[in-house]
Amino acid sequence: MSGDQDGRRPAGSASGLSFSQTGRSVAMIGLCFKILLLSIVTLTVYRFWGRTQVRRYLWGHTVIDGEPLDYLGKGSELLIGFVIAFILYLVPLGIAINVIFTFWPPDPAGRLVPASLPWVFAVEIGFVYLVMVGLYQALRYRFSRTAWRGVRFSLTGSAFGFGVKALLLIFANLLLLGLLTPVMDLAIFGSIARNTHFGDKPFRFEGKARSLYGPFLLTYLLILLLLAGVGAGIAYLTNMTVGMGGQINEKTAPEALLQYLPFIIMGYVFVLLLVIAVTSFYAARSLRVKGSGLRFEGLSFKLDAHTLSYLWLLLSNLFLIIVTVGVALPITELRRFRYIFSRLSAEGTVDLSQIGQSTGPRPRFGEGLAEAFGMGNV
Amino acid sequence: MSEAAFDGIYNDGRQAGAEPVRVLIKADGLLIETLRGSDLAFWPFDEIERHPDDEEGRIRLGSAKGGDARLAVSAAGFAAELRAKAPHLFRKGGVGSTLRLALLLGLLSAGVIGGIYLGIPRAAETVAPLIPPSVETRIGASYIRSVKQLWPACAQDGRARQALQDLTNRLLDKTKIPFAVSVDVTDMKIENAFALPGGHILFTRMIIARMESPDELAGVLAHELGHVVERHAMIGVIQQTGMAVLLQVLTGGSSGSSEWALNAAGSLATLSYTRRLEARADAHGLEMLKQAGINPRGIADLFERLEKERAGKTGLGLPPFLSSHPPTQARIALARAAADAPGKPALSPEDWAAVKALCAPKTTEPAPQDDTKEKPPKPAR
Repeated sequence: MSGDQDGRRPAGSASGLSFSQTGRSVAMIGLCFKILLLSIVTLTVYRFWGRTQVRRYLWGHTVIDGEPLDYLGKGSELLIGFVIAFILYLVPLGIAINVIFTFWPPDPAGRLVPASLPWVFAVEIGFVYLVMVGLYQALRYRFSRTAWRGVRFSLTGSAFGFGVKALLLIFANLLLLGLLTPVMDLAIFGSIARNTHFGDKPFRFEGKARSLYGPFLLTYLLILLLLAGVGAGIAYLTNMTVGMGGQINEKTAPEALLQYLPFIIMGYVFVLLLVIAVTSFYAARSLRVKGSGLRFEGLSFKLDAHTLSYLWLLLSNLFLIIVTVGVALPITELRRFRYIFSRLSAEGTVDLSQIGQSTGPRPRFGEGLAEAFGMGNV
Repeated sequence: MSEAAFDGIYNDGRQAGAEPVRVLIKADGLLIETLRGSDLAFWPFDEIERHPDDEEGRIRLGSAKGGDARLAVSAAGFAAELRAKAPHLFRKGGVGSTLRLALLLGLLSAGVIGGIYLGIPRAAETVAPLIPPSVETRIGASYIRSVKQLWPACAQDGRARQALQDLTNRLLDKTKIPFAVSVDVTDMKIENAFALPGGHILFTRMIIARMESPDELAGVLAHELGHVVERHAMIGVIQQTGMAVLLQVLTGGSSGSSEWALNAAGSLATLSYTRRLEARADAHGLEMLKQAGINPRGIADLFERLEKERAGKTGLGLPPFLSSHPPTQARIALARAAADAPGKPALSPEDWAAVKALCAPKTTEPAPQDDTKEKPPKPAR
């Protein structure tokens, strides 16, 4: 748990660290509307500067041991990074898709012709790969623009190597019907954590997938049951429709379905909420394992995430985004930051004066690929 | 000269330790020294950058040339003293600079869109001839399939089809063309004719209904064949794709507000061909009519009738076939000038009747007035 700020330690040797996020949602409302208005006026180009302002606020109110983080990125860096990534990756990908559909146009019903499948599959693999590469590059940019006590964070390692690793894990997990999820989850987090540095010292990660399998298998089972339940429900409803509408034929079926549309939508939302609820059990545990596996110098971390609080965060953020049509996105990010940093703590000792300035990579431009895939939210 | 000294905390930007310091406000900058009085750094006012104050209200400063070094000062009176010497650090950068940035970005994106709008048609004209006709044929196949799904081609009347095919062959007699041209009539509620990629020509029932002689049909067909020969449909496809891709660059993939910008610009792009291309199709068409010995008076008559109707209407009720085309009077004059020879009729009266009967409505409808919004279909992707 985050304690109160126990005073600054000018000399630099700390025993334990406290974390807090002091930003206020209400204080961000004005910023949200400013970004919305200016984005419309500038045909959305302002979003890069808006994002930078949001981060400055989020970082500036993330307080570690009495000292806030500094966000040192610029809107222009995000814009240029985006344009470069678009030309380098997305345009070729778009051309590839167009070429494929030119040579093998989908049939009139919109189904893909078999001959095009290998190519479509290849493009989709390329897409997933680039998403993972983009994720890594985005983190690298953010870390390199984050400083605490005048020292920067950094992310070393190859983004393309990370992409290959993540792709293999995702593929293996698909083959095993998702049963590899905890391994994949922690392997991906671990390769990011182990390449993360504060100043010239690396983080370490000692989380074990073993400790996640109990909650995971339970979640997995619940989801299977849920799917079976949904299947049975649909079968039951279909029978009822036939019973009431008599013979199903092409004319009456859509009308009968239309009659039940509100129920279908409600059922869909209900199932979605159930899935979120069930998975948040695993997700909270995964957060806890990730937090407690994290080490830095003599510090070991602890993240006190629990199912109900995490479920509340997910649902309330989802609600905020839907109700405000996305305008409140920065506020949901603040709430995520607050969730993590109010539950994060570190025990042990670290001599901060022994941590030199970062020599890690400092990309000149930011997060192009992630932005191009619509992931550059924060 | 007396100098105020304040207590602060200093991170030197080389290691993560922190040091308690004394900060002296000099005439031209801040002098940061250790508690023992040795100099650590001197920051000229014009190089100082202000970082957000922290929760305790400490003023946090850095220096443009000082790397990531940070100075935090909470002492009472420091703010007032610093403001007197370096007021720029206390100016609310807010409204003015944000508006300037927004204006700049707005102009920039408007400029990019303008450039795209002017540049892409040119680029498309350059690229289109490089696309192999076999590729255009494939694209055309997917177009025509989705069109026929939305607007089924009218009942297959053997005589009418043969007549249209014969007329097409007659017009193309002296012209080399890399496509197998097909001509169809569809039941679309719009007066227009289209040349799709790959040599598919579509007449709507309603434009056929407006024609009073087979020579008028031949005139419009020749014009569309002009588009086919010059591969204008391919230019159109490239133009639309390029426009969509470049606007995507500008607005990013998935943000909701970018969608409207994309759609708005997209519909601008579907304003079909430039006038220059239409004029070229006209020239080709007239040439074909001449070669085939058909009198271009037909198309002049049709234009004139549509034009008269437009003039009679209030507002912008421009028939679609004319809206994207060169100034009508000039075209009519051009066609009339070419109409020197009497020529042979384009179709026999029997064939003409068969074509007119394609898609014929069960009851005679009045000419619709507001169905002109319908757009040529796009391929289903």
